[in-house]
This record gives sequence, structure tokens and C-alpha cells, in this order.
Amino acid sequence: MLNKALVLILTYNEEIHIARVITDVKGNLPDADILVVDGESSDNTQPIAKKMGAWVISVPSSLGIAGGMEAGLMFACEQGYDYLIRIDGDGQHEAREINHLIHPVVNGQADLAIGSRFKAKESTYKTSLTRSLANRLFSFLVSILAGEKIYDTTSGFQVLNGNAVDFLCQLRNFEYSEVETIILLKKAGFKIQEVPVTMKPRVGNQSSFNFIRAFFYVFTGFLSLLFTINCNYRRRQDFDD
Amino acid sequence: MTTKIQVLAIVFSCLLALAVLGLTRRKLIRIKYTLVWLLMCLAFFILSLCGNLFFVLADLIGVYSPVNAVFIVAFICILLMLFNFSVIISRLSYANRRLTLKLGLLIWRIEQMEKQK
Repeated sequence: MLNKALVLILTYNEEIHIARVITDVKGNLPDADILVVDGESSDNTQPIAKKMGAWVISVPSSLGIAGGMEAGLMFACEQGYDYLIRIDGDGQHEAREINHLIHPVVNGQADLAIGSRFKAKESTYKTSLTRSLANRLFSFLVSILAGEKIYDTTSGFQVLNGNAVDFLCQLRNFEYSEVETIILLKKAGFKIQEVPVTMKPRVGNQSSFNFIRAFFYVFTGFLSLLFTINCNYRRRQDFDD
Repeated sequence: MTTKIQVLAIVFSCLLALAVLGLTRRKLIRIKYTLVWLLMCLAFFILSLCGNLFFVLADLIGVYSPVNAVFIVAFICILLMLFNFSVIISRLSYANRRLTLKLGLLIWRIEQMEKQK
């Protein structure tokens, strides 16, 4: 079905889940390549992922999810993939839903498909109060700026097509953030579609998202949104190449 | 300004300039940043040499005490330099980030080539 697809799994100390995530992905997308971008885990995430047949790239944990995603974008861009599928390494996303999520992108209805936890009316996904408030705030702001209702702006379950990947790779000094990417792509004329997905509750090690982190996340996200609508990102090739 | 403070300020500005030049000679500061610091030293030196300038400065800014004028000017200079350093650090951080990611990708490529051997 897919020409050339890359499944990007971002991990940090996910030795409990990584094997199952890779197996699930392989079961649902047997032809896709799997790239694990790991934030220098101190556990056995990398050896397990390699043993399962995934490619592994290690990036410093200080670069966070954004650094991992940027590495994945660079990789997909360099290797000329037609689709980049991002899925979390903690096993919260259902790999079987990739086929559902990729559908609008393959059909040309969207350049970015977001696996939305909140779009479905019957959604039962529960999150902490801080996360919930942050999500609602970003959803409100992004919906205004993007000109269409986006329910889940911080979802880590996404599919991008090759054009969107190339566009993001060419931006100079671009630091990935989910909310900013939505606005950037929308501003550049790319189509975005939300697809309702189910998300399992987190098992094992706890999320590092506490109140202080939430505050900084909201604050920096809010600022980056303000600047994204006003700044015209210059393409890297204008400077580097 | 008393002569004692004047002498101390002149000595300090000379020592700072010497230190900057020494660090530049040992390649510990890049020439473009040396220029900024030497200009600061020169401004400090001139102000120390001509004590009356503080009164002129205080009059210009509209403050009663020349000491406050010194503080205001010093504060603005430090703020500008910190701002300049923030820009430099951000630029370095972007470059470092990109370099790190490229390194990760290159290591992967080397691993693949070694596997194919």
C-alpha cells in the first residue's frame, strides 16, 4: 500500500514497552522501515530495539522529544521517505490504528494527519489536570490561528507526507514543537486532518510532566506560537547551501 | 570623584584591557568579542580620566547624583552585553543542536556500512 514509509519511535528508558511497540508496528506495517530515536537511555532500550530489527539513532536526552523528532525529520528527508509516521515508544498508541491514521495522507486529503485523543465524542481518554488545561489552552489558540478546530494539538501520534517533511527540514533554526508545526504547516498551505484514535493509559515508568514542566511548556509554547504567526522562517538553503 | 577612586578606576580599566588582550593572544577570546571589551575599557578609562564627565553625564540624563549616572550607564552597558551574549548563545545552541543530530545520523550510516562489509 505504501511507497516508502518510515515509522519513527521516540524513546527514553522504554525497555519495558519497546519490543511490543516494534512487534505491533511490524505486524501492522510489514513494509515500513522502523527508526528508533533514543535519548541515550540508561536501560536496555537500544539493544532491544536493535535486536528487534529496528534502526537506532542515539541523540542526547537534553534535546528532548523535539530533538528526537528533528532527527527523525532529517533522516526521512535524507533518505527520501514518502511518509513519516510518528508513534510514541511508551506503548500508549495502538499500532493497529496507523492504517486508519495514514489513510487521509495516502489519499491526498491531508499532508499531516494527527491522531486525536479528544476528537471523538465518545473519547474516554483521561489525563492529569495540568495536561488537560495545557491541551485545552493550546487547542483554543491553535484553532484560532489555524482557522479550523484542532482538538489535540500535542498528540505524538502523527503521519506526515514527504512534502511536509521536506518543508520542515528546510526551515532554518527550526525547533520542533507539535503546536508550532501545526501553525507552520497551515501557514504554508499544507492540509491538516485530525483522526480520532484511542490511547491506552501509561504503564510502568511515570511521565516526567509535572506542574513546573507544564508551566514552562505552556509558556514557551505560547511564546513560540506568537512568534510563529509573525515570523517568516527562512529556508536553510538560502544560508547554508 | 576623589583622586584615589580615579587612580583605582584607571588601573582597573588598564588591567582589564591587558587581560582581554592577553586572552585574545592565547586565542581564548575571538577578535570580534575583543573589540567590544576593548571599547568598554576605553570608555571606562576616559570616564575615569575626566571625572567631570560624570557631572556632564548626570546633567544629560537628568539625575542629581553623578554616581547614579554611572550606575545607569553601567547597567545599560551590561544589559546590552548580556543581550548580545544571549544572541550568541542562541546561535551556538542552534548550531550545536544541528551538529549533534547530524552526528547521530552519521554514526547510524557508519554502522550500516560496517554491517554491509
